[in-house]
Amino acid sequence: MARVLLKGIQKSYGDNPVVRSLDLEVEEGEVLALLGPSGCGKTTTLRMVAGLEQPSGGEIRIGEEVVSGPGRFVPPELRRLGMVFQSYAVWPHRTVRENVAYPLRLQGAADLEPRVDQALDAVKLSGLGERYPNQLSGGQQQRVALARALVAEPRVLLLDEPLSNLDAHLREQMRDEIRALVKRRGITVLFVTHDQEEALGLADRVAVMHQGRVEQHAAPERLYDEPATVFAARFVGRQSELPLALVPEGIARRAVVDAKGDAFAFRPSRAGMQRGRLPGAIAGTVVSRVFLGPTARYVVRVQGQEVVVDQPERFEPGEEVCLRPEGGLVL
Amino acid sequence: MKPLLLGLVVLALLVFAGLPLGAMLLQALDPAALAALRDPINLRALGNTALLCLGVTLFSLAIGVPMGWLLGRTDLPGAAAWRVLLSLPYVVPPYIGAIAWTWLLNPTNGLLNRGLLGLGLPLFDIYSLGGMVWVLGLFLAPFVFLGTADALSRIDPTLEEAARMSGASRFQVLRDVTLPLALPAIGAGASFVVAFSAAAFGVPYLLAGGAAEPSWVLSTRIYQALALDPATGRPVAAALSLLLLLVGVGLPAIARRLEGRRSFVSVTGKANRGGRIVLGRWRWLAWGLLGSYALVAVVLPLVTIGLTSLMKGFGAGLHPDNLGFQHWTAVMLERPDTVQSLLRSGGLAASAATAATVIGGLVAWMAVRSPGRGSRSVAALARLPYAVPGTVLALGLLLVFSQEIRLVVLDRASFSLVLLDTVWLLGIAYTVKHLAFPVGTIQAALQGLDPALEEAARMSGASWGRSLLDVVLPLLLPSVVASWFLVAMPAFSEITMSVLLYGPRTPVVGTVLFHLQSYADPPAAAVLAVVLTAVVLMLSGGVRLLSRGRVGL
Repeated sequence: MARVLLKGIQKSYGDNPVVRSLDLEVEEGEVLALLGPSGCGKTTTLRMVAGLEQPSGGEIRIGEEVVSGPGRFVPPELRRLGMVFQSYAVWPHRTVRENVAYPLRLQGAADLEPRVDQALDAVKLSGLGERYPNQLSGGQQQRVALARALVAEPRVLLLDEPLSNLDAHLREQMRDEIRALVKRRGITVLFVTHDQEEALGLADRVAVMHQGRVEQHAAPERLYDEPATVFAARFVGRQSELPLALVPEGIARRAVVDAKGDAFAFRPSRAGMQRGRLPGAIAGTVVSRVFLGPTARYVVRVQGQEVVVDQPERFEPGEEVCLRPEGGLVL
Repeated sequence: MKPLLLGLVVLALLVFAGLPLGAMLLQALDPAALAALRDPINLRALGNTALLCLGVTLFSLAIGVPMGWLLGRTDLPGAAAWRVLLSLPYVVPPYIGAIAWTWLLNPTNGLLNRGLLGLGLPLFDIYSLGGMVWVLGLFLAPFVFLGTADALSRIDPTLEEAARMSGASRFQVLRDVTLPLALPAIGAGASFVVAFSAAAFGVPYLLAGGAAEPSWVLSTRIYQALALDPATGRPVAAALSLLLLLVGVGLPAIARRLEGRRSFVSVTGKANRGGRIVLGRWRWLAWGLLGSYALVAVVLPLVTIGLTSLMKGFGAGLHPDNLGFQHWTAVMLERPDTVQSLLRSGGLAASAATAATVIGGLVAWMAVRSPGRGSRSVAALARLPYAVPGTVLALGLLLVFSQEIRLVVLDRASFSLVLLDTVWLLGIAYTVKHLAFPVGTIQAALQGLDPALEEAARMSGASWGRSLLDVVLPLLLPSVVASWFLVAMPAFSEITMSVLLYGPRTPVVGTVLFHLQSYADPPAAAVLAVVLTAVVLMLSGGVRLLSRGRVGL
């Protein structure tokens, strides 16, 4: 296992910059998520670590080795990494066993058979080794891809949108399994996703990317509770927003670093909604109610603006309420 | 290894495709070239080429479009079998057809002409422009018909139904909806026919030879100019090549541009079995029409050649006493040059097919996997020689590689390279000319292949070359094998370039066959023609089998 260090990484296609001066560190044994909307440069960054794209500038180190830097570029096959592709990229002309054995075969490993068995066992595919990929489900194909990526004991495991092609139920199961597997072995993982649930549930730390830069690099809880920038606040989790002018002085707030100072944002679950009117609170009227199970989701009108509030108690449309949000942000 | 290999491919393309065409253009700037353009015999050849293109296009459209409609739009019984049978003439080299038709329709003792004479009808002289139109039109009609049938079977049937509901009769639907929708496909077929007819050499050459006043076309004039006097002939040939390029590449390019403005989104991707026109009792007429074409274009020429190879006395008529295998034993046992030429052509075709598949595959990989202006230009350069008439390409190769190229190293060792009259030049010509097949076929297949499959191999520790061998090659094997056959087939029977590039010690099947047919021994020519036809039919069967019907000529 090894750490990964990116210093001042840049990548542009023609005149179009995709990654701008990006710094990032994945510590040894850490699971790091690169989270961002499509087109933010996260996949390009992952592919530069893999060696499948060459950076236009900057330096990448894996362990102590500079794999990409001025005048130096180590091709992907010599980086000793493992990668699971979004499409899985399981070779259809080889059996499961041949797919998984391939990296070891290229190394000329002597103990190939037991290691392949062990890898298949780790992803719960023992007994399916002689099948061809077209005889497997999507989830099983992903397990093959995972076993293939891990069999040669890579220095770092790279995952490109690992759960995006699975259905909702399987997604949760695979997320937990992947996390258990990599934590048990202490594998360094860098993965890319546009799905915040995937990032928050799988990663030790999350780097939020936007327009080719890292906006915030923090543990999931911290990212959720204390977003550093306007983009991080709006992209991770849901925010209810009001014009700042409608919010009374007494309600606590904290400004993000790049705040414009005209909007007030809070989590729907931390709205502190009560019946009636209270001084120093935001006055509003319930517009509608949708039952969600543990809570209900209300739309509340505040001076012509509508905000979303999640609350376990029952309110009726038309009722007068007041809000006293906690952990509010100025954006 | 990757930059080195790809660099070599680009270098080879520049030397063997770019340089010859450049040399040809340079040669055409010679003052003698300009003078040649004013020579009436050359102007007549230009006119003849234009007439030939026009005639063949009209003739092949007249046969091909109705046949395409029958196969693509009606419930014709046995459509699949007809499709295979009717595309056969396109597999057999057209000069084989020309040879057969000279025996059937030559003005003095052609078998059919004797029949016409007996019926009191006028003779048809195959040694004429009309004869060339006849042979080439029969040969090219399948190309028009396959394209038309394909386009028609993809038309959304509700478009036709909508016309019926608007009050159109069946005929009006055909005229106002169906045919206009198929027009781009028909136009594409027509522009191929124009390009092919302009570039054709074998048929015009064989059918000009026997005439009192031969109708020369541009390709045969170029050959003549070079054959009469290689030195003074070169500028003339280059000037005529320029004209030929204008007709053979320029006209189809204009046609494609016109078509490009009217592409129809309504032609759906899936072949449609629904909404076909029910032929009912008309199917007998349809069978009759298709059957007569098959008889005239496939059965008659092939049977004629087969019988001629068995006739003891040429022109002595058909009866059992006159049949025997003596020509076969003569050709196969007593004439070492024919067997040798068969082996040489086989070897050349296999080598050219292998080289073209490897080079074309790498070019296709570059075009798909590292797109950019550079790789696009390389792919365009690789496809260019196929669009250039063979005569022109061969002239270019002749101009470049007949010079003695001396590479002097350190004033001491020198290495000279003369490729003229060697098998190398033939192999290079076959490879370069047909590169477009592997580039096109493999490019299309590669576009359907997830790049992550290769990247996964790289991440597993495989080098670039290893990832191609372990992942790309096995997954694209049907296309790769099909490309190989698509090059091997035309290379084996090639005549247009061979006739300019072969040397006294390196005759190939095509040149030997032409020699036998023109001067020496028609029954021996028939034997060789039968063997050649059998080989290309086997190759064509091979490609169909190996690509599971997806690729075929």
